[in-house]
Amino acid sequence: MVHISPILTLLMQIGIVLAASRAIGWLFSKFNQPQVMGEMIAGIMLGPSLLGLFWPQAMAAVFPPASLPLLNILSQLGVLVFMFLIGLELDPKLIRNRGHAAVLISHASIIAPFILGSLLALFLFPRLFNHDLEGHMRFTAVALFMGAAMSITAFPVLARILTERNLHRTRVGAIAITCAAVDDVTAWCLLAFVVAIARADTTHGITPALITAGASVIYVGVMFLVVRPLAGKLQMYYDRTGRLNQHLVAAALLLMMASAYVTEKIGIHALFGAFLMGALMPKGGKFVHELSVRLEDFTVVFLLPIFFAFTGLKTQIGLLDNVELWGYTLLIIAVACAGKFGGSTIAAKFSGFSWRESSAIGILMNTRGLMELLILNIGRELGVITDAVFAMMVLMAIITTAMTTPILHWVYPRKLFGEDESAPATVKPGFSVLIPIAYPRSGAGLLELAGAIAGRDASQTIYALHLRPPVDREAYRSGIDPEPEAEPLQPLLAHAAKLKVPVEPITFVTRDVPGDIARVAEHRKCDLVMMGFHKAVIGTAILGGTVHRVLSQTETNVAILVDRGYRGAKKILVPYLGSPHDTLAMEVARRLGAQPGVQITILHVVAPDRQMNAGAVKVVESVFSEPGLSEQLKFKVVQGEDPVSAVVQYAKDADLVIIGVGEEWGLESHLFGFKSERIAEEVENSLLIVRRHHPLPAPMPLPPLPGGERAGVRGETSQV
Amino acid sequence: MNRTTLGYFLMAISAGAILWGILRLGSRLQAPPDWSGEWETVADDVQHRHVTIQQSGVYVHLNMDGQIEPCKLENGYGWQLKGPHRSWSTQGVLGNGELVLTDYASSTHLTLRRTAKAADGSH
Repeated sequence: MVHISPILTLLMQIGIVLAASRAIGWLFSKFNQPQVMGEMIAGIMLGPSLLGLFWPQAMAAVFPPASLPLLNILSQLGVLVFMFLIGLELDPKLIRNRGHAAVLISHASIIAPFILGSLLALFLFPRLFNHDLEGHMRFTAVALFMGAAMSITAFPVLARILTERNLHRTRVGAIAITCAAVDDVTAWCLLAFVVAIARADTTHGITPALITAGASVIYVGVMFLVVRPLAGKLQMYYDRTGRLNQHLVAAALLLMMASAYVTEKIGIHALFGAFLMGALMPKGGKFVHELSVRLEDFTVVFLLPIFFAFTGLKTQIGLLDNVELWGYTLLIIAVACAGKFGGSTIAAKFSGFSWRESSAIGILMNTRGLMELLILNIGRELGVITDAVFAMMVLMAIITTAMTTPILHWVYPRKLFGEDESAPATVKPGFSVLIPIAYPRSGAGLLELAGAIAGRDASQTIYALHLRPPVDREAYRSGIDPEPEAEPLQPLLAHAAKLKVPVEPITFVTRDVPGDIARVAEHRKCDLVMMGFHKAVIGTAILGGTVHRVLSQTETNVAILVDRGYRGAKKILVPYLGSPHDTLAMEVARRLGAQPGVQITILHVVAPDRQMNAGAVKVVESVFSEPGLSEQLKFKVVQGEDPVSAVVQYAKDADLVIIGVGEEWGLESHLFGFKSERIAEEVENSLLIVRRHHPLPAPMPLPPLPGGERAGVRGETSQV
Repeated sequence: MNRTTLGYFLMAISAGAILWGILRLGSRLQAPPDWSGEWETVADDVQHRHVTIQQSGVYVHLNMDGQIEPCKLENGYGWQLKGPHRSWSTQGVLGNGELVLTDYASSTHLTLRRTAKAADGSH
């Protein structure tokens, strides 16, 4: 057998674990599941349940038994820092400022699953547990552990789901997040008690348990009375220096390690110490936020996947090899759901929520995720639960987490609380433009152009939409961003204030940016969606990627601005071949023509030796039918084989080219840049590419010219 | 004391009472003995064999020299380990720490001595 050095084995293991966890996490996020779900499953896949089952040699080579202790230490260190982060994220305001409903629901969501879990232990104890002859309180430990394990709610995963679905600003979301925070604290305190009971089992009766209890009381007292003020000094030091230096990070980690050491020594587990230290760190300032940002990437990206892999190595789904065991698994899942979902739902209904809202709260509280895995590992390590029960409970944790998003979507669809809900009240009369903004610094050109198209009438509305995809850190932590939600739109709003253009900001988190742009446009009944083009990382097409999806999903007119320094347009060129999109381009130009001093040139390209199309004249006349526009309008007919070359040539004299999508121009919405986009590439000035869905309403009428002259089209023919 | 406080008080009291009842009932329950771990045969009449027992309650996986046999423990006259092909009778772990498995069908006796408990405290 080839001997590989321990460090090489460890590097190989970590490499495989990280790659698998990122890949499967990413895959799950594509199916609207929390990324952490995929990472948990990746861990299980690397263990005996999949890799070991189908390719035992590979599993033995990657995870030789001798290498596991080192992996275990890394994994334990990871969860220790993670629990410290969870404590750091805990907002005491959530727990202190609870309303009556939150108090009732949080209590019920702990008591009901705890009692049902303990009751289940009565049934399972003679079947799935073993009696250790040395233990005096074995059933007590099992019953209390099953109760605590059923009571847990994965606060970080729940917060992530709330943020992704924009539920966190609703009453349902606020109640759920408060209850989850309370449940988390309570469950960890209960677990500390259970650990003390379980550890006392294997020694000598009640005396060690009493010693542990006494030591725990002293520990908690010291933490509140001595360590907490000490941690406050760290905040003061941070405030004085204004930055988080390495001494501060080291001091915080030292406090965490000391707290974890003491709790492990007392007998209530190191994780509780790490959690409590995090919870007692001073909240409200930037110190804790910066500290958690500093620690989280390494913990979440590097250490936690190792914990998942180590959990996976211990999870043997193959042990569930008969119908009875699968029956018990279903029973555990049913009891877990009945306790958590049932308890929370009934309490919420009792507190005055509708059945639908109550069910949504129940479903959210039933999310267990990673926190359940932490508890299960403690139970297994203590010998309270057997291998088969561990596998069953891991399955329960995965299933209750995985079912949350789809069932929530079904029970509490977005239209009940999201953009769609307020539709009748928020739709405004008059012309409206929606401008989706991707980056905080972008959008000045879009705003100016949108303002010009919308006009200065009071009834016109410009919506600035910033859709934020969920970021990775939210997979594990609260994810409720402390920064103001409209923060990314601030530069744009400031610019709008300077221009005296009223803008209504809309910001929320979404996984489906194009879909939500389309939905907001539909919901607000926008006349035009106008967005910028940003060069994609992959592909070069202007009308590809997100732009393509917006163009294909949005049921309103869309305009894409290729901004080459747009700062107002006095000379506008509108190439015209006759498509409905070209007509929209003329309509947009007509709205811009409402501004004084704007010159519009309609460029009609025809084949050599042909005169202008009479149909085209009619269309142009109908679009520019209002009095007063004839002075501003020039209709140019160009004979040439290549319409694109003609546009590029005439565009040199224009500030802005407005052009309809269409294959004739080499502009068609597609995913990748297979087709030529010569116009977009070669036109040196700003370009607005428009796609028609319905006709734009006419702008406010211009003041009539003396004598009431109507616009007339006088063609001027030349050759290219 | 208002109605809400009374409600909470009653909820806490009843939850405590139910939990107390569960713990009282459970203390009378008997779970199967824990045989999980590494064993080896010590009797002279059989070839030296290495046996691993993986156990979750009554569900036992008996691994004899790499051959895994799923069995179930049943409590009748002593514990019986029933597998798909054969059944073992046993009186459990004896005072000297040995586990004697007897297959009456083939008149085979296996005397096992534990060499290690299950790893990391689990079963």
